Amino acid sequence: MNREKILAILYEMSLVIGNEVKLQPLLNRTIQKLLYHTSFPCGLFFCGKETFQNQTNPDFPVKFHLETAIGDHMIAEQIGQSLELPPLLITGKTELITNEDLFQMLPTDIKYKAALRLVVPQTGIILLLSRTMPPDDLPLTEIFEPVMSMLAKAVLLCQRNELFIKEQAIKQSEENYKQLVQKIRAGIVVHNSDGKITICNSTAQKLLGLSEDQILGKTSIDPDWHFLREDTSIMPVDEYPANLVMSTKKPLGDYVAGIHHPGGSDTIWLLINGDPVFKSDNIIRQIIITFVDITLQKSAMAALHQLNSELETRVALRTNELEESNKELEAFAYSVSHDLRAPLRHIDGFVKILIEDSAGKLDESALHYLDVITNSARKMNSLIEDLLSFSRMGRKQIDVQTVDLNQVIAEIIQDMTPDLANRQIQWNISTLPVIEGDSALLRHALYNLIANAVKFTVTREIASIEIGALEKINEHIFFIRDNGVGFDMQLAKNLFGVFQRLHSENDFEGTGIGLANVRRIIQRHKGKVWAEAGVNKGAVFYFSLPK
Amino acid sequence: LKSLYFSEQIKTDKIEKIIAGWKQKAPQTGVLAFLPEADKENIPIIQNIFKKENIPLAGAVFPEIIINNQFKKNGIILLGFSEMPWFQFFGPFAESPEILQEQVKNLSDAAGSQIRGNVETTLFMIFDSMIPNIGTILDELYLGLADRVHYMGVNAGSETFKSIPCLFDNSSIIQNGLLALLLKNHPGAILEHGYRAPAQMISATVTHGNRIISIDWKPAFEVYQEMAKTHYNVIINKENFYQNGVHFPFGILRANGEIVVRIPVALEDDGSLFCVGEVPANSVLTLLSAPEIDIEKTIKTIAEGLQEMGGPGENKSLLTFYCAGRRHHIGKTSVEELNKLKQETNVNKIFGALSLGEIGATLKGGYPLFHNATLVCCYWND
Repeated sequence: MNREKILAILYEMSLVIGNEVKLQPLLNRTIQKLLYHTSFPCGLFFCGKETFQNQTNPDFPVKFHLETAIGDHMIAEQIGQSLELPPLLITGKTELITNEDLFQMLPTDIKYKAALRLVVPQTGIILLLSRTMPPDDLPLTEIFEPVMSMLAKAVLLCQRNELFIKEQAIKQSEENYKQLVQKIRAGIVVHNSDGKITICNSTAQKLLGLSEDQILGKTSIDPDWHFLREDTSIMPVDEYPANLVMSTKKPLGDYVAGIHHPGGSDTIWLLINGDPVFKSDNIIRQIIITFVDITLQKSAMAALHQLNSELETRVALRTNELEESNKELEAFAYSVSHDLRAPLRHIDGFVKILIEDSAGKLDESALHYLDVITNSARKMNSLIEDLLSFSRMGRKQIDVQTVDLNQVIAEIIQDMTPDLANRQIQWNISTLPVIEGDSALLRHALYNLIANAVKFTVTREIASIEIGALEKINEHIFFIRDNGVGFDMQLAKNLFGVFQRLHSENDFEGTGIGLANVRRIIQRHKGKVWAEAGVNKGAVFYFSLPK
Repeated sequence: LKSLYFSEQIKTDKIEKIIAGWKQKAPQTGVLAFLPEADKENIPIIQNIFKKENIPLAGAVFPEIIINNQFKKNGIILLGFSEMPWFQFFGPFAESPEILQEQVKNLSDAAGSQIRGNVETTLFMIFDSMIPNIGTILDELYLGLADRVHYMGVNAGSETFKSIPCLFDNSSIIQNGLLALLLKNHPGAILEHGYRAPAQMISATVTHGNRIISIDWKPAFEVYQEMAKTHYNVIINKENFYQNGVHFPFGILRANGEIVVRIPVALEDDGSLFCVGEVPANSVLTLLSAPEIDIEKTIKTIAEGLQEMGGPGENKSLLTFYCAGRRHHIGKTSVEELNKLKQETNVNKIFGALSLGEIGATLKGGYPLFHNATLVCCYWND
């Protein structure tokens, strides 16, 4: 290796070292280059200049900080740790070490035979480890030693650079924090452990009506503060927010207090939060108090409260009037319906007598007219009966008891069974919850819904009727699903009206009172009823009952 | 259990029979295949055979393959494993150092997660030769995996240095990537070139990956021409550059006296030179010349290394990757070199491929580097 070659390698090394501005890449690239040039498989960098200087006894192992390690994965696992190593290995001048005993304390299974120790002045030590003995004639120490002082300076510059970057980051962070504290639209004051205010932002100054100079240094017990309780009584000093946090050592949340500006007459209402910040030994280091002005909200709340109160009174009055009116209307409907039955019975009865008394005297046409009159009277009677039952549903006192709907449904189906001899129906009934309600009324409602499902599936070769329930937090929802003829959802708004029918009476018999009754029963149980369907796609009737 | 099959012709029925037999003996078998560039069109056929037999396949295309100490332009080599080792494709690799670091970290994490206990393991890498920053990839890889593996590798592709898809598995063919395999219970490989360094030093002042832009602050080709004329009395011009490049490669000097060979293979109009392999900026270069290659030393070093690593070569085969540039440089002597290698190592046979760059350490367990003009060898106990 001639002088020219050594100079060339020095030049190359110095450019590698000079190319890095961060410490870790600098050390990695330098060691990689050293390994490249030596073919040694492992390179370590230890730092800690004080340790190197203070070491006096070469026989006692001393701890050295492993900054980086390349090539030996077991040693690399110790990066960032301090390793106990013999001083003879790690202190001293730049040289090739061949005493294998010195390598025994390295945390690795590899048996190294040689180490090239490169001193990085005032900074650390590089150890390049080899499993074989390098040739004697290689001037490795002479080649690398000159660049080590340059590496030392580069390490120093990188450390300073990183320190500078860290300091800049801290400064920037502090500036951001100050901006945040000043710009935030909440008052912030910070008390130290003596209770004195050390920080107050501009919002705090504005809300408290004091300048920064007037606030800083004051304590919670300063006589200038005039706090009011929420009920406008004078707040005792020990209830002041900072004092409460100080005495309880607990956070204070959504605390409402009024404050008088010095010289002002109006009260400003504040919503206050307080948090203690502890030292490690559970001693309060500082208390952070934040607050927002809720004066406007507080007066708005008072006005709202007044309005609500008036509204409630008016609603109660109107409800009462409406209930009275409904009762009168129902009584009237009941009375009318009841009174209409007598003339109908007369019509029906006198038509019968007329037919019997005029036997053989009336021609076929007259008999047909009388038959129409009889049928119409009976139909009207049926409608009146339905109307009366509907009315009764609204008037009947609700008798709340525990109702097992499983049992109710089983009974309904059992009752229907004789009439379903010619039908094929697949029943799919889930277990239903036990609820509180009027057993008779609920049975009536369910009977109607199930009867509807049976009725409107009559055209199906195999009818399918599913009964189930959905659990909600505050209510039970029940459903009866069928595969029947369904209906057009555009007509659904009429579904639950009195005498409303969505299908021809010729196709499906009935007066149209059933679903009106269902709705009335469910409404009387504070529930709702609704349906989903499609033409020829079946229907699902839902009703909810509160828990 | 390892198996080996090679043939100068690709006979699909024979291959089917061979690999079916391997699977019968070892149901978890998998195969590493080498194909010469002239037979690269057969890759889909080979893939179909392996898909049909449901046997894992990884493979690469090289300029030529080596069968029984001879370079062959046609044929196929199949290396069968009783259990297919972990393998994965990576790349294409980024030029940006930050992204490249992340990519290589993924590689080292993936490979590292497969290493179990103290099993001696070799990371065998086959790179596409068109990747310009293999040296940097190796440096980063060594930061992550360190000595948990031995490093062995070669470059695949075309000897024309035109980009071709040269790496494949059962279903895909990729280019500009890396095929990495983890060979368990494998002691690594021996690598040697035997080039000697002359005294004259120059410095590659500006480089970019595998491109030398300037030497001693002058256009690279200009300095190259001057040095060839001054030291070897050879006139190199644009016309004869490709023929002469292999005879006058660059050597990157190392402090331990060794050199890393870089063969220039392409010339740009601006006078910059493309080499097989990365040339770090400010590397100390020298110009090597034909007479300086030491074949005897090469063979001796490899044989001694193999002996130390795996004992005598009797009853063993030798997997050998022989640099295409080296063969171009020494011509027919390359076959003699292979024959000498067989004699010196006492192996049954030598098989392998002509490679476009080689990876390994010149010392056992030494720092792995990307080389040109070398032989990379390891035993294959079939």
